[in-house]
This record gives sequence, C-alpha cells and structure tokens, in this order.
Amino acid sequence: MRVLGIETSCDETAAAVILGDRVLSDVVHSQVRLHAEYGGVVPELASRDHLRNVRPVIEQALAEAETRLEELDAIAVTCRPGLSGALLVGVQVAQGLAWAAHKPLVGVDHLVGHLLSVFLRFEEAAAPEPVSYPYLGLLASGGHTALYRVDGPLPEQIEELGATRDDAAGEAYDKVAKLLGLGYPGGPVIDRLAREGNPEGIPLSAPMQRRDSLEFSFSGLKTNVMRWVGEHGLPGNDQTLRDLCATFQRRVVDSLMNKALAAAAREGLGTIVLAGGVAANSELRQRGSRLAEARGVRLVVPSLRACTDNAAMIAFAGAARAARGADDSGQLEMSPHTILPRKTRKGRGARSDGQPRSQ
Amino acid sequence: MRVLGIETSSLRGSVALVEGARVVATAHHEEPHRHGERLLPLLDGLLADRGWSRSSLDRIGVGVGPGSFTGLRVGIALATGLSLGLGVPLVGVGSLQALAARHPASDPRLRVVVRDARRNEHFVAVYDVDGSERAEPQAVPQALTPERVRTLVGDEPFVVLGTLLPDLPCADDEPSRGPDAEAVARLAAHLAPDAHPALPHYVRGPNAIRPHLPPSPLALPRT
Repeated sequence: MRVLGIETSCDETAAAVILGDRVLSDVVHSQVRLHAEYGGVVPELASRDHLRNVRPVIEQALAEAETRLEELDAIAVTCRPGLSGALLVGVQVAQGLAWAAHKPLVGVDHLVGHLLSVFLRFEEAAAPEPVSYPYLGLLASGGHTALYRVDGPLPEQIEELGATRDDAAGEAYDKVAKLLGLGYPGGPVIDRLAREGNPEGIPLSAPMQRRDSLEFSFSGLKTNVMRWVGEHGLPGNDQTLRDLCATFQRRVVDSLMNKALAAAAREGLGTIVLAGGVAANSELRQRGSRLAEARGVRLVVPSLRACTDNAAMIAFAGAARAARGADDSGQLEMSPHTILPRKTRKGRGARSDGQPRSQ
Repeated sequence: MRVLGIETSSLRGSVALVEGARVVATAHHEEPHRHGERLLPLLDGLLADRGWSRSSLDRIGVGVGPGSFTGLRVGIALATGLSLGLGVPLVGVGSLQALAARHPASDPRLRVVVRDARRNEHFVAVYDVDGSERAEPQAVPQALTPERVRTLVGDEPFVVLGTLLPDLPCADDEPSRGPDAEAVARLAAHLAPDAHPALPHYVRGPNAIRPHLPPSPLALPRT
C-alpha cells in the first residue's frame, strides 16, 4: 500500500509517503527552536506554526516520493493523543485532502505509530533488524513512558502493561535540564554531558524499585536533583555538573530497562523494542543492549530517524488499518488521550496492589 | 468560475457555492465547537443538491479573520486540504471585509465593521464603499465611543456594521449573524491568490510569556 501520513500532534509538522515498509519520503519541520526560549512547548505557538507549515511539508513529501495524489491508497493522520489545537490542523487538512481526492482517511494513535516504527525502512538509515510479533514495546518520550505487549499492528492488538504515574522520562530530562540551566530540550545535552561524568558520582536514589510493579515514576528523581541543587548550589561548567547528569541518566536508563526486562519475563517475550524520542538516548541504546543481553533478551534499537516524531510511522500504522478496510471519513474523532486502554493511573494516592481501577 | 466559500471565524460556520455573480447555494450551522465535524457534510449536501461534482470547483475562498483562533484554524486547514486535493487556488478573505461586502452598495458611507473580540475588546476595521481597506483590522477597548471611531474615519460619514453600538449610526441588518461564506466566496472570485494567502489574521499575539530561565553553565569556561 502507498500511504501518505500526516503528523501535527505536538511540536513537529511532518508528512511522509510509504510503500509497504519502505519510506519514500520523510519530511519533518521541527519547532524546537521556536519553543526553546519558553523552556517547553507553548500550545498556541505550536498551533500557529503547524498551520503555516503543513501545506509546504505535505507538498514536499509528495514531491520527494514522486507520488501523485491519485496514486495513494489511503491518507493517514495522527488524531490522538496530543495538543488539541495542534492535532486539529493535521486532522482538518487530511479530511479536506481525502475528501477532495476521494481517498480513504484513517486516524492513527500517535503511540501506536511509535510502537511500529521499528519496521520502517528509511532510505538513509541501515535496514531495520527483522522483528516479529509479539514483542515488548518500551515507549519513552517527552509526553509518554509506558510498556506495551504488541501482538500486531492494530490498536486492539496492543496492551499497556504499565506506565509512568507522573512525569514521562523525556519530561524529567527537560525539567532537570531547565533546573540546571541547560535549556530545552533536555535530552541531547544531558546525554552529552553524562558521557563525561561518573554515573555513581552523586547520591540520587533509584525510582520505583519494587520488582513486581511495572509502573514508572520520574518526578521523585527530578525532585531529588532539585533538593541536591538546593543543598549544594547550581553546578558550574565543571565535573560535578557532568556527574549529576551521568547519575540522573543512569537512574532513568536503569529504571526503564529493569521494568522492561521484568515485563518481558512476565509476558514470556524474548524481544524488547525501543520507541519514542528517549530511545535516541545513547546510554539507553548501549547499556540497554548489554543489560538485555545479560538476561537473554534481544533489545531492538530502531534508527534515530525512526525514534523521534515522524509521519512515516503514522502512515505505516494507518496502512495496517486501511489494509483491513478501515475508513474514518466523516467520523474521525480527535482526542488528547491515547486509544490504548490505560492500566496505570496517573496522580497521587494509594493503588489497589497494581490492579487496574474499576472506575 | 465556480467558487467554494468557507467561513469559520465565529461560532457560526458556513459554506457557500458561487458561480459568476450568482450565489448558487449556502448552508450554515451554529453548533459550538463543531466546525470540524459539520462543514464537510454541509458541503456534500450542497453539491448533491446542485448536482455539482467535487472536481467541478475552480477556486476556494476562506475567511481569515480576525475571529476565534481555533475557528480560523479549522476553516483554513480544511480549505488548505481541499485546495491541495482538488489542485485549485486558495484565497484568503478578511472576515470583516466579507461582512462589509454584505452591506448595500447604494449606501455611500464608510463601513466601520465591529465584532466582539472577547477580553473586553472589539475587532474593528474600516472599508470604503468599493470594499477597499481604510483601516486594517485591530483590537480596541470594548467601550467604542464616537470619538474613538472618529480617529479611524475622520470627518466622513460612516455606518457601523456587525454590532449594535449606542450613540453610533448602526445598520439594521442582523448584527449577530457575523461574516458568512457567501460574501467570502464572492470576494474570493476577484482576489489574486498570490496576494491573498490563506493565513490567519490573528491581530493579537500568542500571549506566551518568556520565563526567566537560569543562565547556562555551559556558557562559562570549563572548570
């Protein structure tokens, strides 16, 4: 199937054309610089920028793929989860485009796209490792951190096993970076500094160590860094800064990997697939592979291009639905929430021993 | 030339089909926050009624505000998709200008178009009888006095459209109706697409406040 994907759920305006698992074009207009001076994504700025760029981005994706609209089998668009004002730009353009070109329109859950991005063959990246269902998906980004059992490409074949109770992993990176004056986004700069630091150099405690829980929590670790800074002062451009970044990163990576390995063992899965922007983290990629290997589990690390937000993964997830006859024309619903049922309840308060709440 | 007009700058969303000088069909809805769901079915209905095919449309005009930020984005994004999908030009039309265009040409006075802008402000713009812009759309305090209007129109006679204001000469058309797709489509037929891109006329800034972030330690020499 030849599918056009459109993605505007957060701070990247993206469009891509895929043919099967081949990515024919992959255009991403990032808004990172626009939001950097605000220390995070400003929804109104994001909506305005999406509307300015969505048309040229789509036109470029079609041109680079040497694809005419008539040749498309379907149009896929991210319709959840995300910022409402940002999502609606992509959704409305896709609706108009599909209506005008008489093409099926399929709505895609952004998280499903991330979990399937491991299958994509990007032009400039190495061919993806062969992966087959079922596998454990470890999705970690600025907005989401969760573990999924993936039995197939459709939303109903994907089950959340546990998620973060508070901050997403990438969110913790951003907040710690902000606290240390390292700017936004926090992931790449902390990753770079951590490489020159001692990962046990600062006493930060490991979050959510209970072995039987598949839930994450990163807000305590963030507070831990804040308290340490309150006691010892903001580090300058010195070894302490690097040790702090290295220790923080080690705690995040170990927490992600320990939970993922526990989930894989519980589900009897031999493959863990990384997904989401945090999967671009060098320590997660390298140390994660070693930790998995030691437990006899294969860690599949997609190319950097596949990890960060893109529209090829949206096209791919949409193609799976379109191939089964799905067409959401005239009934596409947007939502700030994922369609995947949540097991972990966010926020404070007691849990009933890991069981999902009935209400 | 067959022109499709779309207008979503207010709670009322509308679509219209215009051919030459003739308004062929119009439809609207007033369901809050449902432009995204209601417009295409309305358009489908109009086309089916008139026996027009989707591909028979030659041009699309869309209201670009000022008005509701989200409303504008829904209409402009939808129009962008339609223009791309049909391969036809897209023209942005000022929503206040569209409102002025509805006023009878026999009235020689300047048109002062006033719309509620929330936050205790009005959007105001001034147009000549031939539709050309005298004062571009701006947000002004809601207490719109005759003196304030005089700063925009000078000594010339004027009529207020779009809102009923005390102590000012107001046209007795349906002020609550707001801009509509019919006028947008009629104006779009005569505007050059390159000179009138379909970009929202927000008038107001994004209201985002830059935080005081700590200085970067990396700006200092390594110690």
